[in-house]
Amino acid sequence: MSVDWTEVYRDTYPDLVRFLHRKVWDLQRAEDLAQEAFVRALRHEPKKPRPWLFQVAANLARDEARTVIRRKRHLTLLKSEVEELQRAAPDQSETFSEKERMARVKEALAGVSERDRDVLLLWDAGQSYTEIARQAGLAVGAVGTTLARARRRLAEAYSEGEKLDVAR
Amino acid sequence: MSHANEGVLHAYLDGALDELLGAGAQATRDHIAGCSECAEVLHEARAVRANAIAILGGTLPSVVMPPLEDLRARAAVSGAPLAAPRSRMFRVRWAASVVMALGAGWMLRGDRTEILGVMDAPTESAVSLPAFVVPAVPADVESRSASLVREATLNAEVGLSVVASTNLSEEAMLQAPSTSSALDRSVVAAVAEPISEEEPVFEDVMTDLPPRTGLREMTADVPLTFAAVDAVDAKPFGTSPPASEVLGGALEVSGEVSREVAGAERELVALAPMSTPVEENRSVEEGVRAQRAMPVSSAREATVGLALVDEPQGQGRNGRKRSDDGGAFLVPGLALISITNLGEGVIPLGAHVLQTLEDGQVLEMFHLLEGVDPNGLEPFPEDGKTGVITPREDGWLIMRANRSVEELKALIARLDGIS
Repeated sequence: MSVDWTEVYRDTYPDLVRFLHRKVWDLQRAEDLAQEAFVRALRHEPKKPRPWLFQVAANLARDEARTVIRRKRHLTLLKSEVEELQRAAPDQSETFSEKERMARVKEALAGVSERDRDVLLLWDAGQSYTEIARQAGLAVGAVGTTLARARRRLAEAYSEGEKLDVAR
Repeated sequence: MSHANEGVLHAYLDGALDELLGAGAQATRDHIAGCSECAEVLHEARAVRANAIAILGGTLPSVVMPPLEDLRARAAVSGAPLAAPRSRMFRVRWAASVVMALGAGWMLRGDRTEILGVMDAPTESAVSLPAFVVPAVPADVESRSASLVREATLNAEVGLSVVASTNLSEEAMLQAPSTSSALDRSVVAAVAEPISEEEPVFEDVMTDLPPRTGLREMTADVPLTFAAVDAVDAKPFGTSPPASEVLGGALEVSGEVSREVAGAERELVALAPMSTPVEENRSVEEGVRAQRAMPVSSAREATVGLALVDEPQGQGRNGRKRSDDGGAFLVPGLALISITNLGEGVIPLGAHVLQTLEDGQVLEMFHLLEGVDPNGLEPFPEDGKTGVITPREDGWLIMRANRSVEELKALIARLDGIS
């Protein structure tokens, strides 16, 4: 059966970007990687595109993470770009607050073990238990337990972060 | 029937009970509905789940979907899979006059001013920009390069210097430059390496993009002709891509870059598809890269790009000019003669700095980036200078002047703001 790519794209792309966003924490990069995953999928035409896309996206994000770590020290925005960003920001306090929140979520997710985090993000991106199990290398029966643990840990870590912020 | 465990309850809440339990799902549903103990745990699971959803939901970006046709167009481009251009380590001639103890050096990294080696002090006096040695290019490559140059109808009066052997991804080949004023002065050459999907996409290049590189400098200070594509999304850059885009991987491009250096002199870098004239838009499987870099004759011009790049960080608190990485590269209090980027093609290797000492002598420094092998420097001229080499946080510092080793150490301390 041929794949209806329009439908796959419509149904999967936003989920894929969100999934990637929580891995690379940069919307532009997440979109780039999601597009890259789709380009590869269109080229390879996998029979089950959705799980295939998430798998490729996860790999791309992993490569990206390695790259980011290595290039971080070299990154400096030019002054003009910084100014442009500042001009574009409608409300500094709001932006700051959102950034702060995102940083807290990122930190909380970092407190979840890698496998649990992957399962959580895959679920959050709309993957079924079966798809999550396949991708994470788990038995389907273990997905619920893993998700339960990941959710609890995420909530705890997030709450701890809030407390620390208040203490500061 | 036994009580439902937490995992089952989460699956129940996720509507995944059938996936989880198959035929037993209905019985579990019935049990949960009538069990007060399970209801209690379910209540807690519901709260945990809602909390996690709220936490994650707050970070949802608003996603703009590009047309699927754009992605189809990219996918339709035939060719080899993605791969990274590799920055290469030059392992050629090492200056016989440089005595180094690199192995010992790494054991002494804690001390930034530890001198790892002292160079001989020959006799002639000259300040010359060292060149990184161009590796030998196989005959068939030279032949293909020459053919390409003719094909591309590039200006034959520009002497070719084949400097790179780098593969470009197929995305980088999506669009050959259309027209360019720089093209008639630029050159094309070199070779593509076998492309392998195992290599992460342009990891090396991104890693090696430092603040004081030619590419960055060019993006910062002059309008560029960038008939090129981002290797990630195959988006044409147009003119003067912002540095952040370049840093994001746009180095893996095809196209050409040019920059006025001083007066009639130009520094030209050309990147172009291998098997197609650069004037035409075609996809190809291999990429080529070449460079024709003419010497910088004007110190003022040479410092323009660097000054721009460093301005956001500004001067250090005691007036020291600092790189983005935090390493000082100008000795405070000494007049600057020039700062020149060192690089191979568009791959940055470091900076060459000349300053005037108090007595009018020239102080020469090479700041080599982390990962760059100092062995790549050509032997220094026999100019009577003493040289020292020391590891830095971001690579290597080689300092040369008509001074004793102790005096050079003092200069390094001054560079670091210690004295």
